[in-house]
Amino acid sequence: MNRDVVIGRILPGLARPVAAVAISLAAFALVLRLSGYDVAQVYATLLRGAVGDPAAIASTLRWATSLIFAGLAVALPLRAGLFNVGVEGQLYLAGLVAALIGLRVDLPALALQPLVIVAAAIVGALWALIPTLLLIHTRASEIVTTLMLNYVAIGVADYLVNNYFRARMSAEAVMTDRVPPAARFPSLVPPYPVSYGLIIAVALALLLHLFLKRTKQGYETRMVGLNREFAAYGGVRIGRSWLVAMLASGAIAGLIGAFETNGVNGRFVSQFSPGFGFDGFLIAFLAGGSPLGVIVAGLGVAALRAGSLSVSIEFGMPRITIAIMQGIIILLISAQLGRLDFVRRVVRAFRLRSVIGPSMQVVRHEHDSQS
Amino acid sequence: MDERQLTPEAASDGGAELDMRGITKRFGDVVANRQVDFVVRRGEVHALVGENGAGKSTLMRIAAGIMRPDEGGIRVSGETRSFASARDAAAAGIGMVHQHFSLVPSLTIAENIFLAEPPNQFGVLDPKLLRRRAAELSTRYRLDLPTDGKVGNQPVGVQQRVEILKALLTGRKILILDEPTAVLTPQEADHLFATLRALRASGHTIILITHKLREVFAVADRITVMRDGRAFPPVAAAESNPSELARMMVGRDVLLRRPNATQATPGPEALRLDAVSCRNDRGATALDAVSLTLHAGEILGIAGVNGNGQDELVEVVAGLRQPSQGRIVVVGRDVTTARSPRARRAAGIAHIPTDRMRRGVALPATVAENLMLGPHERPPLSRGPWLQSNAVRAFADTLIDRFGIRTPSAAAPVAALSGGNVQKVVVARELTGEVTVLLAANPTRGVDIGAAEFIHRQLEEARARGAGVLLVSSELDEVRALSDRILVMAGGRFAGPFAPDVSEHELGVYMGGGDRAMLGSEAGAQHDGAA
Ligand SMILES: Nc1ncnc2c1ncn2[C@@H]1O[C@H](COP(=O)(O)OP(=O)(O)OP(=O)(O)O)[C@@H](O)[C@H]1O
Ligand SMILES: [Mg+2]
Repeated sequence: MNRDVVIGRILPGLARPVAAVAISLAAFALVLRLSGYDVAQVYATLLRGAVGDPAAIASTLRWATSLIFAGLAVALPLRAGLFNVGVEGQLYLAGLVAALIGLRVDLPALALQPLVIVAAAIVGALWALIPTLLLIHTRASEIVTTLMLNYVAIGVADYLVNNYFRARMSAEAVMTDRVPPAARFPSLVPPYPVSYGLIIAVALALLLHLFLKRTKQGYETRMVGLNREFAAYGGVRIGRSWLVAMLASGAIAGLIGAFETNGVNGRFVSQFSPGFGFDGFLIAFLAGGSPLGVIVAGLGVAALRAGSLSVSIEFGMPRITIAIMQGIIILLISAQLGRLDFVRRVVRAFRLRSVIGPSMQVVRHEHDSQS
Repeated sequence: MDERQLTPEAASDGGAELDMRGITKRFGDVVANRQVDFVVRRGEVHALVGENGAGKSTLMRIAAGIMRPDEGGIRVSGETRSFASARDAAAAGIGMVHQHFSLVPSLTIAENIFLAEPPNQFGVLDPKLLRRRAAELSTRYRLDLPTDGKVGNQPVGVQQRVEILKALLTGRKILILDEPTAVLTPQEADHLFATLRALRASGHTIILITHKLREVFAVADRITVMRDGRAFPPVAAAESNPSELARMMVGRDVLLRRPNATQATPGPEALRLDAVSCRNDRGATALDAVSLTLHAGEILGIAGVNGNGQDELVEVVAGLRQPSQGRIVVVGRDVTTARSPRARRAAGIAHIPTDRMRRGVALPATVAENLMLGPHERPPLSRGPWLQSNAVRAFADTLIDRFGIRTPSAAAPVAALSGGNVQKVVVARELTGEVTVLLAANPTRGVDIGAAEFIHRQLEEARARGAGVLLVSSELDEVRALSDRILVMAGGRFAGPFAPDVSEHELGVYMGGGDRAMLGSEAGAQHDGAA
């Protein structure tokens, strides 16, 4: 508590996420320096790779599409006090279904593309439904179940593709054939892979903002997230709030799959997600769980990713080093927002993630009934 | 921090143990303390009183190093001090028991006591030593704590004593207690005061915040009244009296003892329990086949020492705890199987919970959001799936006004309110709308005398509108002043009913009396054996 007060005094209000990013940029500079890089040059390349020219901007927007979706998919359950650590699996299965519909269903683009989007959303939602039902009826921690279902989803999808839908031409890569043009989301700015998914992502953020602020269900969802015992005592149907948040979250995750597969890649490619589900946590954190904040944070992390691609090409630096910086941001943000119940649970989730390993443990929900 | 020059008078006040001068503390537009001078003499019990939101907790948090003042200076035993943290204040010998518990429920009492600095051997935690030291301390200060028990399993009275013991470890010189008796029965409070007197005799200086004037005159040597962020010069307890004090606090005359304003007109049955049993969180029997009938237009008081099944009784009726046997009937309808709080609310049950911080409010949410839970489902606060923000604001402003909730606005987070004002938020929400059965558990806990009077009147008005009110209170005065009938709860069973003019002594006997009454946990434990 005391430490929060102190940090709260140093970094009041909105300055926090900004400060976290600034501090991590500085800390990362130190890492670069110690590894013998020219810090100024690296950062200049990073900036150029993110916004330096039209191609760089397009690259940032390309990543922003999926990252905004991912941030929303994590932020919404957070507001209900839940962790969807299963965005990876949800988007993966949805991506496969999007590709298969594109490959097998013969419809004009105007009908096919909405079908792909809706189907992918449904698949993502259904995959999120399983852990949610387990949570509601058996109190099995969604942190564990969503995480575990990632491995199931990825295994199942790869198995199916490898055995039944593998591209005829591919020798080593596990992927499907290209989807036909009717199923392919067109680029807004050819030749760059920026589709209208970006517009949907931003619109969705606005809708979720309205949902949380202006609807009964949104209000109830927030109360469940802020103090579950208060909500239950006041007559809120906790299970319903959880279902709504998790189904919507899974559906949004599904959209990532649809737009990556039928948009950017044009086909289902094994391991196509570079960890969107976990980037989603970083973004949702930076945004403080706010959907509007997710737009900003999503763009920021997208710029970082686009820039880091340039850096890794130009300096031969492994891209994992950028992950160090993201890790620093996560640490700072969670330390600062540690007083919020949901962030406390995020931190616990990450701690869990590192200890679960091969031995599966079922973790019960504890009541955070302190102070 | 602005270190104001201390005045010569202050310096010459040789007996001052704690000397706070010109303290100002602002929260945004709210001035919680304005130019407060507060002087406590060595070896006295000093009462700090005033209305909800007057700034008492803020002033004491500054003294305990938890907050920094915007202006002003602090001297401890004549030495100028500047506290950057509670640790600094502890180093100066100041310890504080907060208005709301800060215990870790999953740890034992012993572990909680030594949380900050566990006794160790060469840096290695020594659990045996820890347990022995905790037991020694408990005995030394006559607090009778089951030090090996988990804190989460203890009744509030015991948790309160754990907090006191924790504060005693840091408060070697000055012990600050912020409304320590709000959760205690009069017997438990008397027990606490005996402890405080013993501490004073051994040289401690004690500052006590309370809303109960009885306690002020029972234990305090001098009194400082705060109003609206300012402090009056202290008065000697021997030279003052309750009504004068009340007038200073509120700024007008207050009726301290009031005859029943409205008469009870008991109507048909509102709530009936038939041989209801349930277990507590530890799995022991909490309610032992209790039956009661509450009529519409009646206030039924439940008196008893904390931890004798009152909490479970309220929770069972509210749908927050499932009975193991028995029936619950609301206005002739069996609701036993309508298990959720939602279903019970639909049946017309409203509930002021005993622990406001746990489920009474969502602290980070705004005052409006805390007030609207429930009514938000219906017009005018919502239409279809949409909330009507204008209606919500108007609704919140009306309640804030009617219940005198001191808050900068309806959009302020409840976390920024003073303790008594948080309680008013809960009471306002639960007393609004159609109520068939009102479960009021310690409804005036932590509110000032003016607000307590107001809440009492509201309970009587609810009765006049035909609600059946189940008033569960650890305060006998409150139970006797408001109830039409009284049941005493001890060991998960009822004794009575008694008429409201029953003597305090007689109730005390039925509540268990003597030592047992002072040991909420023991009462429960003994009952387990008997069950
Ligand atoms: N952290 C905070 N942020 C904003 N305002 C605050 C904060 N803490 C206290 N206040 C405001 O300062 C004023 C004084 O609060 P304080 O808690 O000191 O009152 P109090 O005298 O202890 O009241 P009570 O008897 O209800 O406990 C109140 O108006 C309260 O709303
Ligand atoms: Mg207070």
